[in-house]
Amino acid sequence: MGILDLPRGGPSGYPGSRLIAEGVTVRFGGVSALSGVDLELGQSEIVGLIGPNGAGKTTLVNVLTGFQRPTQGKVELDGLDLRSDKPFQLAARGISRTFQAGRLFRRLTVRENLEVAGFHTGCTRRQARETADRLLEELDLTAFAGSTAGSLNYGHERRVGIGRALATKPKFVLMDEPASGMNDAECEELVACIAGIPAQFGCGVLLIEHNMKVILNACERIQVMDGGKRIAMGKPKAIITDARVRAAYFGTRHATAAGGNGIH
Amino acid sequence: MIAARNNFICHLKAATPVLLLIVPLVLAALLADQFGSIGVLRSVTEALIKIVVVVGLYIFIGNSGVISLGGTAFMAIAAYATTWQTCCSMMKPMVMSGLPEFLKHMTVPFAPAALIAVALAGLAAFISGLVLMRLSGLAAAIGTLALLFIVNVTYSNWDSVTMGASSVVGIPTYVTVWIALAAASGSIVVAYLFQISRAGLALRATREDEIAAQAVGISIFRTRLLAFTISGAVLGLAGVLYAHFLGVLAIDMFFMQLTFLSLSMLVVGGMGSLAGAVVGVVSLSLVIELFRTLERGIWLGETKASLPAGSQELVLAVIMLCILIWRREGIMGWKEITWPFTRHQPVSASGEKIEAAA
Amino acid sequence: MGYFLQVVIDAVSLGSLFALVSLSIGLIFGIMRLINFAQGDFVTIGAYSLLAPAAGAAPVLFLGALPWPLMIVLVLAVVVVLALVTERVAFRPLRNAEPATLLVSSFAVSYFLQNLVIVLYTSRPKALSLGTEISTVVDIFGLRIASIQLLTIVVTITLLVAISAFLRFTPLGLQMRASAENFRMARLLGVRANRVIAGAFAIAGFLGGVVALLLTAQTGVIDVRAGATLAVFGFFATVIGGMGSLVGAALGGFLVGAVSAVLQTILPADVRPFRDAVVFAAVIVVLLVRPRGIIASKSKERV
Repeated sequence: MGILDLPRGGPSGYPGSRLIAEGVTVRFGGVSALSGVDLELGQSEIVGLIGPNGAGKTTLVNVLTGFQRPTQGKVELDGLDLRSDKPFQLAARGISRTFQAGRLFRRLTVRENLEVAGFHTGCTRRQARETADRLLEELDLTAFAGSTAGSLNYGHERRVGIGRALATKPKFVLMDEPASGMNDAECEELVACIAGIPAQFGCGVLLIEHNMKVILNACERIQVMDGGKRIAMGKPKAIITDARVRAAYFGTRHATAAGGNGIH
Repeated sequence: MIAARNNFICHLKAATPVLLLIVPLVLAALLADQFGSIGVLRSVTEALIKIVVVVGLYIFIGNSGVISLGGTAFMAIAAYATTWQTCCSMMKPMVMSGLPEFLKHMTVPFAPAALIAVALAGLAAFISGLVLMRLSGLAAAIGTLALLFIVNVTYSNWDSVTMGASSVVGIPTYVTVWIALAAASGSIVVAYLFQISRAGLALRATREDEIAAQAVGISIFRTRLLAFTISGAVLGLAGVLYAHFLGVLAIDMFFMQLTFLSLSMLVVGGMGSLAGAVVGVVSLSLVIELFRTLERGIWLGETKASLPAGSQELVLAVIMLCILIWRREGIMGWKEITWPFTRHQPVSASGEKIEAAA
Repeated sequence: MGYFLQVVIDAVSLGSLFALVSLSIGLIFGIMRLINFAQGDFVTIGAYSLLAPAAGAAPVLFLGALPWPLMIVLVLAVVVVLALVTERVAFRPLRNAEPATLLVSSFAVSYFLQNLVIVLYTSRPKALSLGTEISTVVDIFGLRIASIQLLTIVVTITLLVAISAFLRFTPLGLQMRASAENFRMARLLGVRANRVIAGAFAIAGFLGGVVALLLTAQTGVIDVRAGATLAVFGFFATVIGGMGSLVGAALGGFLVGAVSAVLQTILPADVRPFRDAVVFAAVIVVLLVRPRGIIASKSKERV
């Protein structure tokens, strides 16, 4: 059982909520950051989102979390139009995210970082604290509960970021490059942690990542973007052999999963 | 029984940061009352009122990280409100002919008058906050400054109820050192309760990172509006105290000078903690008192040496600049005082001890 | 018609002073995100430099006693030096601080300068006449215009033209515009921060000196708070005109002056005293509707 009491669709259960983006277009002035992108995310799956730098991955996450209004297109949660919701309202609807830059509340303690994320559900401070403590335990961060978030090292900072996103009791967590700057051992830990999220916390994961090892080990489906468009979508095996993906993503030089633009 | 006792100890522990601020104030008031001259007693009373001012500012500025320059406007609103209700029943119908009929011929007892005035200040903060709290950072600072000017212009020209630029005199002076002490303690408790509440924690999260705060479901507008309203009410209380301490009221008492002074106290003490607000008032009040004495002149042997008027303000500005340049986090530097005096150990704003990160 | 033109002249001459102040504030803000409230006190000190420090109400002339070309040069020099010293001592160490912190520090500087004047000259306002020629009234097409108003307008327009030429055609001016656009990028491209900022303060000081002379000539009174009041309006004018652009800042100054003058005429007498409140309320509206000008550099924060 997950530690959060949420209606959830486990791997074997019913499908749960669905977050859908259809034909999303974002233009900044004359430049299109996204043009007609689709995305579908179920509450019990982990979907990878990859593509070279500037492909529009973060912009898509910003659209899904309300930080960027789409110029055109639909964003829906179980048929509910989300386009006019503000970020904090989307968080309350169960769409949560992490940030590339971490963005922890640096002068608050780690526990307070998680606690504050639970308030929008209307629980008391004590309940929020209990949830936070349980989450910290699950993420193996109990030892740092009382430290200020700004004093953590990089790997722990990332994990607190994930914990904070989970503390909002989300249906979906969108993770923006959680493995950047991590070493191999840390990445493995991270994969284990992310892979367990749908079953443990009952929420779907959208994973933006450059590290192909993390993506291939954690995701059931992968969506590839380039130049603001979706160029492929499918199972990991199909994706790494897809000719268009290899052309766009790895360049024409060679086609191993370890080389090419933006992969570290 | 044991559980109850543990609970009590637990509460006592949680209240330490507050008690450690209030107890010294009580001692200062006691000493001043027992042994101080009238001058000292007045200075202590005034410092206690300033604590209400700066703690009021801290509730919003400290927790939100947004600099508001409009706080003194709410002091003015409450000060006039209490004056209209309690002042000079004989003169009122003539000098404040614009007051509504029921106010013109009625004198309200002190306590309800003060409550109404505080509520009015809170309401004014709420209404102006509906607009101003949509602004962030520098824009918020400018917007709140504009509010201060609007209130100042309005009150100094609204002759029929504020007597314009001239002073209202004869306001009953019921504020003793004990009333000021009670208000200072009360405002410290309110600020502390707010700071450890859910809304307070959420507001501090917005201070650390506005974008991440929204992403975890916090409405920046609502949390700031709440704090702005509470802050406005506490500042209103300070305004009421000023009116009934000095017995005189003029709109320019609540303008740039006081705005700068109170902001200096908050900055010098450290705007990141409640202790900073109190320490700022105490330390700058001492400096000001010292230079006031020097301006009055002291006898050095046969000759009387005195500093020219204005020196006290010069020193204040220099201290403020030095703090901004060399110790921007202020004297307290984001820390609350805990028992035993472990000021150098980092402590979260809830007074919870922080373990060193491994 | 004549009445209307009279209002226009009043509006433009009042707006001129605001424009010079708001241009100074806008110039410095563009480069280092500092709202320099002390700009008003540059004006005040420029005016006081005409007098010798003394406690009495009767003014003792200092620079004011010199022949007028020398007087003008020296007053300008005093204020330029003051501006440069302020930058070096107070603002340079704070260069990387938050804009709100910088604003607070400029309050401190302003408070310091005001009280420095009080220590030296006491807070009593002092009367001072800068010659009788400028208090005459000239008759142009049936309009009676105080020659000082005319002088103010001419000087302001000349200065605005001169400064835009300076910004456009001189190397330092180009560097200033580049810095106002994107300070970090400009520094990467080899613009020397200290020079550009000192240059901006020198211009601000120069304009402050000019305003000091014009204001003293207009009012005939020197007061500790005269400059600060001007700075408040000049600053809010900068906000209304858009803090990002220098043209906007100058236009904002004229606009505030014009609105004040027009409201003064059209408002009914019992509402007239509240006209400044309208200007201040306009500031809040502008902040809400068009916050870009203020936070242009940070508004598109990358998520």
